[in-house]
Amino acid sequence: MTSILKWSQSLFNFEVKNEGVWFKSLSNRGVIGWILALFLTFGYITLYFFPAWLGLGAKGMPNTGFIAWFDPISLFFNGSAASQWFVYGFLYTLIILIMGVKFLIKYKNNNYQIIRTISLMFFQLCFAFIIPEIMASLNQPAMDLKNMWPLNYYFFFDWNIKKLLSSGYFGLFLMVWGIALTFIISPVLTYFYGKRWYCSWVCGCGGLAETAGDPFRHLSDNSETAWKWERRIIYPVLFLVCLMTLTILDSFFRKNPETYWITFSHFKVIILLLLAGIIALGIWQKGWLKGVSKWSKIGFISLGIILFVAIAFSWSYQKPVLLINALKLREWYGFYVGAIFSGIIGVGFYPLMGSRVWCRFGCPMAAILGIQQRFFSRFRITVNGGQCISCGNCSTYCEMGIDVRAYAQKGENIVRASCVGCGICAEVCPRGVLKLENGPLSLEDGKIRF
Amino acid sequence: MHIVIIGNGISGVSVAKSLREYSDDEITIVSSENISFFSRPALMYVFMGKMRFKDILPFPSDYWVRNKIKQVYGAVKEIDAENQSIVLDDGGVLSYDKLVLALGSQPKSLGLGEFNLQGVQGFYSLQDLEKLQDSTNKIKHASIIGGGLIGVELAEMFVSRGISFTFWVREKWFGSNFLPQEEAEMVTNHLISKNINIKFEREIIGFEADDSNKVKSVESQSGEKVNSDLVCVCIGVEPKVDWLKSTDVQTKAGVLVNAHLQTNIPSIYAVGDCVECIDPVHGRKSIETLWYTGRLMGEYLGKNILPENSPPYEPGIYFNSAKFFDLEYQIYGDVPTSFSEPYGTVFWKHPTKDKSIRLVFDAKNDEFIGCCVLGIRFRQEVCEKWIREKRKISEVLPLLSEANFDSEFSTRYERELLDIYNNTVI
Ligand SMILES: Cc1cc2nc3c(=O)[nH]c(=O)nc-3n(C[C@H](O)[C@H](O)[C@H](O)COP(=O)(O)OP(=O)(O)OC[C@H]3O[C@@H](n4cnc5c(N)ncnc54)[C@H](O)[C@@H]3O)c2cc1C
Ligand code: SF4
Ligand code: SF4
Repeated sequence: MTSILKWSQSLFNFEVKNEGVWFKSLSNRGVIGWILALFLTFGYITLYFFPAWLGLGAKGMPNTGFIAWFDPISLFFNGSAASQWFVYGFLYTLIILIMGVKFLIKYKNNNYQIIRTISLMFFQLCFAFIIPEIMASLNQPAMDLKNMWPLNYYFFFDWNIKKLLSSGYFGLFLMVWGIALTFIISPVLTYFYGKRWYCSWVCGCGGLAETAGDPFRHLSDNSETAWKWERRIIYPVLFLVCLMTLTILDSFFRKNPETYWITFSHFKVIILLLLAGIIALGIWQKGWLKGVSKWSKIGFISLGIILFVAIAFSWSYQKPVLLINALKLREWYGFYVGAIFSGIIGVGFYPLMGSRVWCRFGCPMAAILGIQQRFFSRFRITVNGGQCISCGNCSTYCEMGIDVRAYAQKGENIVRASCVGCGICAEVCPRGVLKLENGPLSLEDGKIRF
Repeated sequence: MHIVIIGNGISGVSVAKSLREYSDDEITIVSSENISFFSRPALMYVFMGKMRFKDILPFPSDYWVRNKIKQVYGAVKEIDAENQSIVLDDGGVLSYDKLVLALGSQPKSLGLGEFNLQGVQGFYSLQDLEKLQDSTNKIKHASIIGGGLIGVELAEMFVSRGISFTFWVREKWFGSNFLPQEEAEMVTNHLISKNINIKFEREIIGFEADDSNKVKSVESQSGEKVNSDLVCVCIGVEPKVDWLKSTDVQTKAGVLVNAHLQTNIPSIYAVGDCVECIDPVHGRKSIETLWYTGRLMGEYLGKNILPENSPPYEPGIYFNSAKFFDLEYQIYGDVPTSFSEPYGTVFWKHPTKDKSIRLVFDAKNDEFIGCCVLGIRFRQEVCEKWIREKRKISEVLPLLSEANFDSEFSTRYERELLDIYNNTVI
């Protein structure tokens, strides 16, 4: 009896800050952790591939069972019976809200955590859930206004472009908004605030990781080997998503070379210029690129040149770009990266590999923002002189598996591509060593320092 | 050249690290505690389940091989200064060209022979942690003796594991021997708010043991007897130098060293907790048992052990930090426990929350000499700069927001402190 009482007390005692996390089966990869991981993984598999098991009605048939429970809510929002995606979106939002409240209580003494979490909850509830439902109920294309390419990898797919361009001014607005978000708004915000403005303030994947994933953050491997694999996987995914988008747009323009005010030849010029620009950047490498190793630079530049030549060749011979079957690639990416990686592994493995598996190893958005954060942003984590006692709380509780201590104990500021700026390292540090900052005036000479 | 370092705590490891930065000489580190360096202040987090032991190792396991630092596990029993060699407990002999003693401390005893009883221990080493973990599930009630930093850490550890205990503090307020009165009261109230069983103004004068020499209870000067089957004595630490008494190395309370951290034997040096400076820099103690002091001494010695004519050790401006349950504490420069001439002070305390800021200045010339904060974080570089530049207090106060290191969006209180100062001056 007393043990049950104690247990139920501990359930609601959110103030306890990470005490005993390595003793509990749920949070130390014990039996309960594994059961939860299996449950989540199979949940995702059923939802993605076997929705009928959950009671989704076959074409035109009414829903039954689990999915039917959500019919009234779906009817209320958009006037039709629930789809498996409605159920998913609804539960996803609900979990972020509930676990968000838990997070708010746990970190109630830290305003940064409070504001950031409210922002995450707001964007999930309004931008990801309510606004698209409203758009749909008004017979407009439904779009999550904060979900940008390349995380939203289908933004440049032919069907999405056609849908947007055939929906009048509203569709056009969505088109312009989506492009501006990726190419203007995001770089500017990332320059001033680092990638955190998206990853731990706005993004839906981040929203789930920060709230529901918080009890598992210490499970992220912070070894150098893990860091190596992180780079080996995330940048190829970024490359893939770019390649896929390129091939899809290529086949789209091939079919409609002169239909829109951007013609096929415009498109070719834009792509080749973009590539040339990237190569030039790699060669130019002014001061802010100096941390990169020689071989990555050489590899990066030669890959760029090979691509440039190959793309130019395939176009001059009127072949699909790089001879790639766009539809196959798209199918492949959608299945392996879109469904298996970001969904099933990304969330299903929370209790095994920590809350940011997808964000850390897979997300192409995080890869782009990270590159910018590393080389062209004012954001960094400042280390407070020599106060570090090398205790390791920061490294243990970094959900991105960054070995924060390795920098802190040397008194070196932390500028890492993967840091999502969650601020938890600074919060758990018992000696007040870490602070997230946006390039403040240099303390010595009043000049801005990067 | 072979440099042998006894002790792989922060001081010994800092010597090896900074020496390796510019020298290829052979480096060996000997320790009898654990084969690799770990963070001693983090031992408590292992007990509390916040981290595993491997998480409190500050360097990846291949660090030592990569940097060609040889690790030897064993206790050193003897130093043969004439032949420049040391003898290990397993009989092994290591010869050195330069020897560094980084021996650390050990828990002080009350002098009542209490460490001979079973169930009585200090909390310093990895072995102490293991002992504690072994007994945790078996005990009914524990006693923590000594209201210092380690005592309060033990209290936090016991609370997190639900162990019932009594916390015996000799002073009237917790921390009154190292904190100013207001801060000591704040910390005391914070401890009381944690619902721990804390008894002030008590000195332990005796122990009772059962037939098998296991501790049964402790007794205070006021006559209370409290049954305790685990007793942690945390009344401070002392340099771990007993075994050196039989060698030629000169010791008093600690290993005596000159301004270059050199002992009476020119090829032997000492750093960290085990050091007693013969002539400490003005205002500093001759023995400083701090993580930071160990690291600074180690970094200094690593850089200066080989070159001739090296500059003397310069500890820099004092700083320290601690955490009492949820309450963080930082101190920079000189902050006494009471403020008679020549000290002047400005103090602000939040009316409801556990937050305070204190600046200290020289009342004669208004020069800023130190500060300490509770529940607020300050920037070390800025505080040090102001102290070094002997800024006037009236100049520092309006700039105080530069020193703030709290996380973004935190409420700021520099204005309140300035108001207090202006009101007292006029
Ligand atoms: C629980 C706790 C919390 C602390 N928290 C803080 C804090 O928050 N801030 C702070 O500034 N300080 C703190 N300290 C103090 C700090 O840990 C010490 O000042 C620091 O560890 C001293 O480092 P050192 O290298 O001099 O000695 P140690 O860390 O003690 O290392 C000495 C090593 O030498 C070994 N050794 C000794 N003799 C021999 C021999 N004959 N043969 C072989 N090996 C030998 C010992 O076994 C030990 O491993 C804390 C201490 C404790 C116990
Ligand atoms: S380094 Fe700190 S702020 Fe960045 S992701 Fe890790 S815990 Fe969050
Ligand atoms: S949590 Fe703080 S004190 Fe501990 S290792 Fe990290 S920066 Fe250092």
